[in-house]
Order: sequence, then structure tokens, then C-alpha cells
Amino acid sequence: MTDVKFKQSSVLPSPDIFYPAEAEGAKQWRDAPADADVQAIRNIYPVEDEFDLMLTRKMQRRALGSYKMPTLEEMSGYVHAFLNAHVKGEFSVKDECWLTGGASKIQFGFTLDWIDPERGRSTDQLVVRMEPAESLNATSRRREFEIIRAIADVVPVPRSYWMDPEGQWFPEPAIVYGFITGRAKPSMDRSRVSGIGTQFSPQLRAELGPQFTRHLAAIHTYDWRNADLGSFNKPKEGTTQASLWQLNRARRVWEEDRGEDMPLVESVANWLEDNMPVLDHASILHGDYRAGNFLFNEDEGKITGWLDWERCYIGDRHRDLAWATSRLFGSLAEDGKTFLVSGLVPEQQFFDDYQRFSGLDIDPKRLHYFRVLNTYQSMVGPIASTYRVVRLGKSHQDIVLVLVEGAAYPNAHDLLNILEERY
Amino acid sequence: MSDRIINGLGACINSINQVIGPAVEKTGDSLACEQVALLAKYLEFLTQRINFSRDRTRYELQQYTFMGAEILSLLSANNIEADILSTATADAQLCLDNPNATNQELDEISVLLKAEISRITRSLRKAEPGLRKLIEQVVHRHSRAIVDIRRAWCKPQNWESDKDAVPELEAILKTASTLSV
Repeated sequence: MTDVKFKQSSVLPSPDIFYPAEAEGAKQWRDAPADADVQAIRNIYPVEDEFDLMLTRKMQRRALGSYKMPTLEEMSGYVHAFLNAHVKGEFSVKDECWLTGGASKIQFGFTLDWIDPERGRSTDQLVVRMEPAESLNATSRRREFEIIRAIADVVPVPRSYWMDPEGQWFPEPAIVYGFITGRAKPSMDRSRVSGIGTQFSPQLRAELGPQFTRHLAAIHTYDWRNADLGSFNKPKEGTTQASLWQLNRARRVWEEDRGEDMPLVESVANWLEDNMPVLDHASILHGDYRAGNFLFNEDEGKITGWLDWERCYIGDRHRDLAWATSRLFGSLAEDGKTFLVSGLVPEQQFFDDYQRFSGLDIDPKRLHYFRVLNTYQSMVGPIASTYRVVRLGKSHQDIVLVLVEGAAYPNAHDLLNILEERY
Repeated sequence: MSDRIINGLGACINSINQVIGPAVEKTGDSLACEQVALLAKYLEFLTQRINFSRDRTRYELQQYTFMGAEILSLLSANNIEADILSTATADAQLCLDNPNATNQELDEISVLLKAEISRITRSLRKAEPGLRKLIEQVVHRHSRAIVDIRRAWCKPQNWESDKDAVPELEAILKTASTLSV
């Protein structure tokens, strides 16, 4: 991309990088980026090593054409080839089917009858979670596999069995994990999308709310330093490194994917760079901690498993706290006034309980920062990435992504309100 | 509508809901079932919005033109040249004043104007703080109008808990001066 149409303003300094968006009907450089442009963006916006790999891979494969989803039979063939390489002894596979849920990854369910080295003859319901060619988030299956393994004794998660991080057996990187039973939202809930404005009954709130808060505290106080988390960069405490990586990741995605320019996004990115907080305590972060990403047993009022760890990283707990308390994911109690975090816990109670369970304090200034960062990120994906993925036909869920764009604007509305708060 | 697009979309929706959807449901393919429902949903959304598409484009361009003109004025008051922004803002106003401007022309000038304002905004981290603050205030003020029309545009998709707080598209467009052109 060398033919930039804009000459520099004569006095205002130039930004370090700026590739303007192009008209809908034009040949767009982002559809087939040159290596030099990919590298230029990488240089300006350094991110964690694993995310650098994922984003670079995305850009390098972008011009390869639209995505062709495997048929059920083809997927079955990949599963058998994978199991032949990973299971010792005889095995059989049945109940193969596509699964729904989420807006980005392919999920394929099956039942495996096999001899587990630890348990002997076993019958397990398993899930293959695999990338499409491109999705809403370019995330790492290796990282997802590592964190699910590491944190299995801390909070309920699916058992992780195997991974194919390079797409050696499957057409794209994949992990295989255990199927967890449970509901993503209450049977009586009439909310729009799983996790968006979920309405829990008072009884379920009383049962699930404390677990919701306690699990977050447990994740944030988990001692990750001796865990096998090779794909995670470890930010230095006492620096702004962790925040910069996350800001850069979003800025990089905006530069790589967008189909339109938005001055608001630029203004917010400036603010975020100017106000990066210093990390006081490096925690494991779930990255998408909210209703819709845990399953629960409605009869027992018990959370059965936390899913969707793809945005997990090591960083500032306020990022998860700000995400969990997003207006988009919560709902109002029966009084029409009390905001319930993820539809479960009144906000102040959530903060009080969290501090009590974790022993970690909550800094309003840092919470404010991460509210801005989260809403910024929540604009980048739905506006920029969905456009590019759908334009190029890169996923099995393009129709879902078309609709996801609509989530960006309530976030943008919140963002403008949050920016008006003073700290 | 004489071109019968709405009729055609209605037929597609009926076909999906009454023929294709039930047939797909019998296969037990949950992914296909989910996407069939979303197809119908998106076509219904399109039916509600297709006649407003040009008005929305003009409204957003008008807001960016206001934004560009105000930024231009601030830069000029600080003796900062902004030739590209000046040209893009003037061209955008000409396009808005021309009732025969094609959708492609509206789109192209909109792309140029948004890009130049965005480039200037990104460069503000290195600018004089007072000027930066004033320009960012302009960006935020007009962005609110743009965000609001997009919230209104997506209102049938039901993203927001407090639906009454989401503005109505028709109300926004009715008050916009761009409709008179």
C-alpha cells in the first residue's frame, strides 16, 4: 500500500502510521496486504508474541480467498485422522454434529469411545473448537488449551484433551475439549443474544451471583508463575507494558481490518495511550468474563463450567472487572433502577464481594481506564473485523458477524458517556 | 414501491420461515437452523431500513462536514494549513447541495473526508494540548450524532436493554436539514 492519496498537513505533525480506509467498490489494500505493510503495522504496534503470530498469520493468509466450510463428512475425516495420531488403541466415534454458540469459532461435537490412559475404557462427549479462515478475533488455540489445563483446579472448566495448534490434522488450528452440560442462559430468559442483557430470576441470582464473583476472584489470585503457560507473555509489574500490549492489539486490528475511518476511534486511542495505568498485580484474566460464557445447572443453581478463554491474558484485574460490569452484559433488577452485573449481582455488592474474596483492591481510576479500553475494543472488532471478514467471506458465520456490527454502537454511546466522567 | 424490492424481500422471508426453515429443522443441523433464522432476521431488518439508506448516508456526511468545517476553523485560527481537509469539506458540502449526487459520489467524498479528519485526529497526540482538546471536543460532539443514528439504525436488532433510550431513525432524519435537499 504505497499510493496514499493524502499529502501531509503542513504544520500538524504526521501520525506514525495511517492507512486510510478505501471506498466500498474500490480495490482495497487490506484485502491483499503486501508484506511491507503488514510489517510496518507490526513495528508500530508491538503486541504479545502469540497474538503477533495470530495477527500476522491472519494478514498473510488474507488473500487466499473465501472460506469453504468442511462438510460433516470431511470434518469427520479430520477427527479420525487426528484421533489416530493421538489415541492409543481402538476407538470409535459417533454422534458427530455441528454445535452453535459464539460468533467466531467452528465447534463440532462427537462422542468418543476409547481407552483413556488414566481412566481405562471411557465414553466421552468431546468438542472440536477450530478457527475458520478469519473470525471476529484472531486468537490462539494453543493459549486456550494451556489456560484451560492450568486453571482446572481453580474454577470449573472443560477438560482439555488435545490441541492441533498449527492445523496439522485439521484445516485450521483446533483444540479438543470435553463437553460440559448446562445452560448458557435461563430457560425463561427472553434476552436477545446469549450474554446480552441476561435476566436471571431472583432465586438464580442468589445462587449463581456469589459463584460468579468468587470465581473471578479465584482466577485473579491464581498463582500462574509456575504454570505451563508458554504462549503467554508475562508483563512487568510497576510498568505500563500490559496496558500497552492490549491497546496495541486493538490499534493493530483497527489498522489491519477496517473498512471505514472513524475520528472517534482515533481520539479514544490517543486518550488510552496518554492514560495507561501502571500494573500493580499481574493476574490471569479471563478476557470475556460475563453471563453467556459460563454454563450452569438450573436445577442446582451451580456454575458447571467457564468457556471462551480465547481472550485470556496476564494483566490488570481491572480489565476483567470493567468488562464484567459493562452495561451491555447486565440488566436492571425488578425495581427498574438497580444495575445487575451480568444480570446477577448489584454492582456495588459485586465490587465489595470481589475485594473481600480476592484481598485485592479496586482502583476507580484504573477501572475507568479499562472501561474506556474495553468499549474501544468492543468497537474495533464489531466495526472493523466483521466488515473485513464478511467482505472476503472468511468465516462459516458471516451472517452472524453482519449482525454483530450492531453491538458496536451501544458501546460507542457508553464510551462517549464514560469519557465525560472525570478522574 | 414500484421496483417491488420490498415485495421481493417479503417473499424471501416467507420462503425461509415457511418452507426452508422447517425443512432444515428436520435435519437436526443446529448450525444451519441458527443461520436460517438469522437470514430471515436480517432480511426483515433490510426491509425496514432499505428505504432510508440514502438519507442515512447523507445525514452522516452532513455530520462529518460540520465536524470538518469546525476543525478547519480551529486549525485556521492557529495558522495551521489544512489544504486536504479544506478541499474535502468543500467537496462534501457541494455533494450534499447537489440533489443529483449519486450514491457512489456520496460514498467517495465521505471516505475522503472521514479519512482526513481521522488522520488529523490521530496526529493530535503530538499537537499543542489546547488545540488538541478543542479539536477532540468537536470530534466527540459530532460523533455523538453519528453514533446515535447508528444506534437508531440498528434498533430493530434489539441490542440495548433500555429500548426506549434508543432514538428513532425517522425522528433523527426528520430533523436533519439534509432531507430538504
